Amino acid sequence: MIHTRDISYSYDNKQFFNFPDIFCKGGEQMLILGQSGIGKSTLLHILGGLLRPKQGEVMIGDVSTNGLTNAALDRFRGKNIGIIFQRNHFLSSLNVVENLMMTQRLSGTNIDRSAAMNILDRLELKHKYDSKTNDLSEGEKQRVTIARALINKPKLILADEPSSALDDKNCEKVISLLDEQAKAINAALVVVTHDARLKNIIPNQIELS
Amino acid sequence: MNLFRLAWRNVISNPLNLILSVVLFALGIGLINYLLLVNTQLKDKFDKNLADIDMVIGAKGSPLQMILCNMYHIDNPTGNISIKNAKPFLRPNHPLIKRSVPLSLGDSYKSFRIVGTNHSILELYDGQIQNGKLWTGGLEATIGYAAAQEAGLRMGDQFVSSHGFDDELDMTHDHAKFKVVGILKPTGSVLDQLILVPSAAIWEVHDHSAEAMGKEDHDHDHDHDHDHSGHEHHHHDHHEHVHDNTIEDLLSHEDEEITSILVQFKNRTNFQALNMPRNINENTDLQAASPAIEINRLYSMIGVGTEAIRYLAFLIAFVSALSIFISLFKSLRERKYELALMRVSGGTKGGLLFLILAEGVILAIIGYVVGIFLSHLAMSFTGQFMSRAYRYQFEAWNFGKNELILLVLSIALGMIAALIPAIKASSTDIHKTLSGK
Repeated sequence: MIHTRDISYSYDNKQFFNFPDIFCKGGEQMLILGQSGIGKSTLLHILGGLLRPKQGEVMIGDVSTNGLTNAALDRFRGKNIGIIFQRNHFLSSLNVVENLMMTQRLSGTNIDRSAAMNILDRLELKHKYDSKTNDLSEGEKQRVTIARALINKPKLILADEPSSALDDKNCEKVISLLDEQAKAINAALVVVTHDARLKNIIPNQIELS
Repeated sequence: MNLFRLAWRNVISNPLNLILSVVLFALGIGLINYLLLVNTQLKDKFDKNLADIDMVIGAKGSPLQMILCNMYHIDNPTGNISIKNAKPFLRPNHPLIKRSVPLSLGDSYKSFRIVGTNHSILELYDGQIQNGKLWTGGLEATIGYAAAQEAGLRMGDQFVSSHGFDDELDMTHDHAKFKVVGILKPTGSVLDQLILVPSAAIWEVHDHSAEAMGKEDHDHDHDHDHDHSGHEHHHHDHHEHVHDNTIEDLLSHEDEEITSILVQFKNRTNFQALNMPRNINENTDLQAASPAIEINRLYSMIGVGTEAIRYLAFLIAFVSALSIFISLFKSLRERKYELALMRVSGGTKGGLLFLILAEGVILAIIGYVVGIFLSHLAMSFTGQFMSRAYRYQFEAWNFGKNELILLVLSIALGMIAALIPAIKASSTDIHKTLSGK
């Protein structure tokens, strides 16, 4: 579950962003829509604990991220938030399953290879477990990214423009996959996008302006 | 899967950078360690062979050459001295001299030196008999451990000596055969590579050869006095006489020659003893030299070269640290998303700092291992060369305290090289990096 109150941000006290309050329960989805430059990424980074808001509060589960020290916030993020970025980046010296295991390790969860293989299986990637991430197709990369966001069973899954590079068919497929997987672990799914196609898929929406 | 393994994977996933850093690092560490190995082993050998000898007396020439020839057996003799001249220093009951060992050099077997001397030489090097007995008279030979091993001589074997220190000259004294009557225990000193025979045996062998070769050989010797000093002959008259190899027997043959005398003083800080070499040099036809002084002179001569190589090694070590620094720094740019991603996944700043430091240390340790291996490999080649050229045995594959110190230094160097990249990595602004700002 995620809940924000009165969050705002400013770059160098010049560009001011005031964001609407967001509320999304576990197992539900929310779409945050907005054009470029309106502060979508900034909001996503605040929700994901990558950036601290100048004002306001972000509650994830029953924890306010304001009260966490930087190192504690790193740990909290690792355990409770899964983020899918617009571009797919991996630890390129590791293979697919090792990337997932490293994600477990970095969050402080115990390394569980069978859980990692399980998720790969659910995302039809099991046969690619020992591939180098650079050798994957774009579609496979995106699914590994999704697997990585899910591996620690987070309370919140954030997706930044997950569909921007996809055609209509794959767009729908990926969103429903995300939705399905988020529901399976009862996580709140927040998708930030400018992609109008998603309006028809996720009914719960907020438009930034 | 942990940060250290990730660091390892990161290091090996970039083979070209890896090779460059490792090769440079290995060169630096290897060169330093090789110098240390050669230095300690040479010093060890030289110190062991000093054997508390305070003075060497021989024919006039280069004092260093005389020391190298008579104590270390790696150079040719400066010439011979007559027993008549040497007599005062060989006399028992000399007020200043505790022990004096007469040496007669000039022959060899399979490039192991044959030394005509008496049993007092054993006391210099703590020589003990392992098999058989000590040489006493006639053509008996008691041989050092390494000489026995490498020349393949066993108890009861007979061999002919060849003139000079080189087998290839094919100048053998084939009329006189030495017989191995004893083999010594290994001492780790130069004694191991010597073939010990009675002083008189050298005269006898050369007596016959002089006769066989006729007058020509003598002329030859006089013409090329110094160049051929290694092949110096002991010319003398015939004696039908049984030698018992005692000092009295030696002293009674005033017309014969020996090569040198190794002297230990009763009290080496005694004023008269300290002045003795100078007195000998100024007042007699003999030459006296102090091994400690000559060897120090040698060290200081070699020292200039090793000093230069040492600076070169440190320069390479610095460049190799620089290459680790550059390779890590460059990789940060390529890996900035990866590093940001690690932070997103829960990695702390400290974790990233550790990761990059670990990469630097891993590079340094690989370089260290390769360098140490190379240095010992080089040492084993050096050892082979030294053993061929000088019959000196070197231990190539023993590891010592220096290696441990170098390991600590390498780790420190790797860390220092990685420190700035590590700090930069840990202070990456993830928000800026991920939003492409």
